[in-house]
Amino acid sequence: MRLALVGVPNCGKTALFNRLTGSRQRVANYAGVTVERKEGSFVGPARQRLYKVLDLPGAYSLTPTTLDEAITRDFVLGRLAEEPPPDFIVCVVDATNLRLNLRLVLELRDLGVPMVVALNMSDLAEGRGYKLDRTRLEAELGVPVVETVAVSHNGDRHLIERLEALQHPGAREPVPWKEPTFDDIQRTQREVRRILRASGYEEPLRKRALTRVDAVVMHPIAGPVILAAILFFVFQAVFSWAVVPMDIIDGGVAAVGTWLQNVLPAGALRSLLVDGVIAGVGSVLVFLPQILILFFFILALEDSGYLPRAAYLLDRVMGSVGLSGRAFIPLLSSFACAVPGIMATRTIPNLRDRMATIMIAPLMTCSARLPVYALIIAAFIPAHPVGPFNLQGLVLFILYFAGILAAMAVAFVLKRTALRAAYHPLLLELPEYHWPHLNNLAIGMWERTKVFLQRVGTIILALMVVLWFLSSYPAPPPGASGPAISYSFAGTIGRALEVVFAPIGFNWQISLALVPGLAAREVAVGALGTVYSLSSDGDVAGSLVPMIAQTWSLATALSLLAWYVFAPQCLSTLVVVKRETNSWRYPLAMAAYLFALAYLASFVTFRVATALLS
Amino acid sequence: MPPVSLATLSKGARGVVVDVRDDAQSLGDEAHSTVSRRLLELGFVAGERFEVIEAVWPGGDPLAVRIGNTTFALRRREASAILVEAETGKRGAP
Amino acid sequence: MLQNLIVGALVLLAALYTLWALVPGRTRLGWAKRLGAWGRAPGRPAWIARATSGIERLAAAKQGGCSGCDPAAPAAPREHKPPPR
Repeated sequence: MRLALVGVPNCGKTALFNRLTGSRQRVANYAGVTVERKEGSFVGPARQRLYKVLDLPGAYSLTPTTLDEAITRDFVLGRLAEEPPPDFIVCVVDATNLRLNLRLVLELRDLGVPMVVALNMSDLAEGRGYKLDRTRLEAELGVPVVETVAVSHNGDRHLIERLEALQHPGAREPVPWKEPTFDDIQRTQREVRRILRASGYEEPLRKRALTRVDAVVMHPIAGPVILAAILFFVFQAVFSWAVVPMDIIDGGVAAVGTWLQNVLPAGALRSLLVDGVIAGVGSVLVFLPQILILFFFILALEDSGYLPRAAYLLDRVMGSVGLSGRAFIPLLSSFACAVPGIMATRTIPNLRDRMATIMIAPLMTCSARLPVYALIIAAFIPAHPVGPFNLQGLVLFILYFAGILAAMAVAFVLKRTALRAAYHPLLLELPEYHWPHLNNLAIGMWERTKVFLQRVGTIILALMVVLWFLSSYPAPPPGASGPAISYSFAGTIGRALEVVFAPIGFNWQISLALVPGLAAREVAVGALGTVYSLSSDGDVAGSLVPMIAQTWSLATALSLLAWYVFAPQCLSTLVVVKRETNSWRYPLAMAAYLFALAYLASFVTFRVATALLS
Repeated sequence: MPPVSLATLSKGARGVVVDVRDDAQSLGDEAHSTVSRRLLELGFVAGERFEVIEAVWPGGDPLAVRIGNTTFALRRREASAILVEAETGKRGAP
Repeated sequence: MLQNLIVGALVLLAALYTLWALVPGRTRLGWAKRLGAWGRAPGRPAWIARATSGIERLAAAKQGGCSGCDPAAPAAPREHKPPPR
């Protein structure tokens, strides 16, 4: 039996999907998080029947305004070539917002597709004082209505019971559908209100406290101040909260390295493990706590319903460079990683807006850049207190801010040249606040840890081993002076690249580290770890931070920071842009402009810093 | 009192929606949905109570409007399609 | 000597994995299909056939871009294993 979950954004559809199928995804609170096709399955307890469940993108209506909504409509109508229409639709509605949700139910019901209505968040509705006679609603609608509580165990009980009682409807033809007219919509809306009255629906007044929160959070002056304070606090926390866990990881890594150094006989294997694996992988692993802290805040803000309000506050700022406030949410996810950010742009109705947002998404400082920033900041920026802040956190904030400013400037240029567009409207739902669900946060952070460790254990590890090999062979000729690495393949490659990067102050070690950084930006840190570990004359490799603090000039360090604000080298992002835009034009243009900006910014930074500091 | 456009109101204004004018302003590239269609679908229908709960800047864009049980952010240009009857002076009326 | 052999094998493995992880999914699937066909040719030992078709399955399952591009992606379309009936 094939089921499709349909519902307006923010109705808790994804949470119900997780409840039904046990699949683990993120549940968020802003319009349009469900951009991917998500399928899961479960077996009904009574008849051992297999249900395949598809979680469709949230849609307010079958007349689409975004790519997401178009996909949902086409799927429901059976217009997608490779997707047969579902046997049943489960229309998920938010029991605390039936006025908004019920119209879609009627639209779907009138298609004649067999359906069940899931009255989601029914516990919340009851707790807040909503009144509704479910059986009357069922009679009025003419389709089964069941109560569900997606966030609690067994909250899908009624839905499963009802599904188990259904007969398979047999094969269906694609449904004919005519776009409703203006009057049709008004008629449907009147019908919605009639049904609600007939079902004894009563909604309580909004809680005073929530109104008061809105009055502060969305206030013309207090709102932006709060937004800035939240962001600032997050960056402070990334540094100050992570100190202890980072020291523990660092200590652990160092201990393993020393231990291996002592138990293994000198030779190629020891060098591979100590200089390649431990030095390389260890220097990336250290940044896990900082990444987790950043994600904790992003997830919590998503879950709470604050993000759309931030989008509202920023609409004017974004509008001044020609973007819509809607672009804020994809751009914010890009702080985690540009890839999901670019995928989230599917909720932007205007095509040129969407392209402009995609083009600037990589300028948002993704978490993979955090290790590079953190490394250089730790080596070169003292942890002075500056007023209530710490200089290191302040520098990090500035770097993030530089990325945002650059993005704004690029958008400004794009929207006035290649991607000029007419005015485009804004209609954004600001969903009710929720306390972040601790369970969701924990799942989200655990997923992140898993992905990070997986990356460290697979691609980063493999790259480090390859890099170690390139840095160790061929062995130096007998009687050579200087560290062995300078005679190796890596030394040769690094020196060739140095020709390009010397004008911006990068030595050959940095130039070399940028290459494996193509696979994942944070690998550059691991690569530096390996390269410096092999270059050191002493037997025991020191930690990377003091090493670069001794060997780089401040101008070089600042130049590398400037480079990473733009950091064009992320293959994954370019691949996703290719996939999303279906052409090579945008990824190539993106790589070119990012590289040009990075080089220019580093050049200026290096020259100015050299002039000022000498 | 004659109906006015929602775009002319400022923070704190409340009242009842009278009508949504059918403008032809396109809302997206994926299909021919227009702003007024979507406004209707979201619940801006005759008889519904509304309240302008915030404006990012007095007289500026965007507005935050509460309709039914939901809050929406929209700009004055979109709001101009909505005709409303505003109550005067009676803040705090249900 | 033994050390060098182990190191050589590890480096080779890492290089192959890097290549595997970084090529676009479609190219990878093409390679894997060719490898699978080679492995199924008559006269090959059973373990080769098993190994190559295993690689083919893996490539088909991991279609869609590089490995782990997206630490925060809202779950790439993932086929759930249908539970045993």
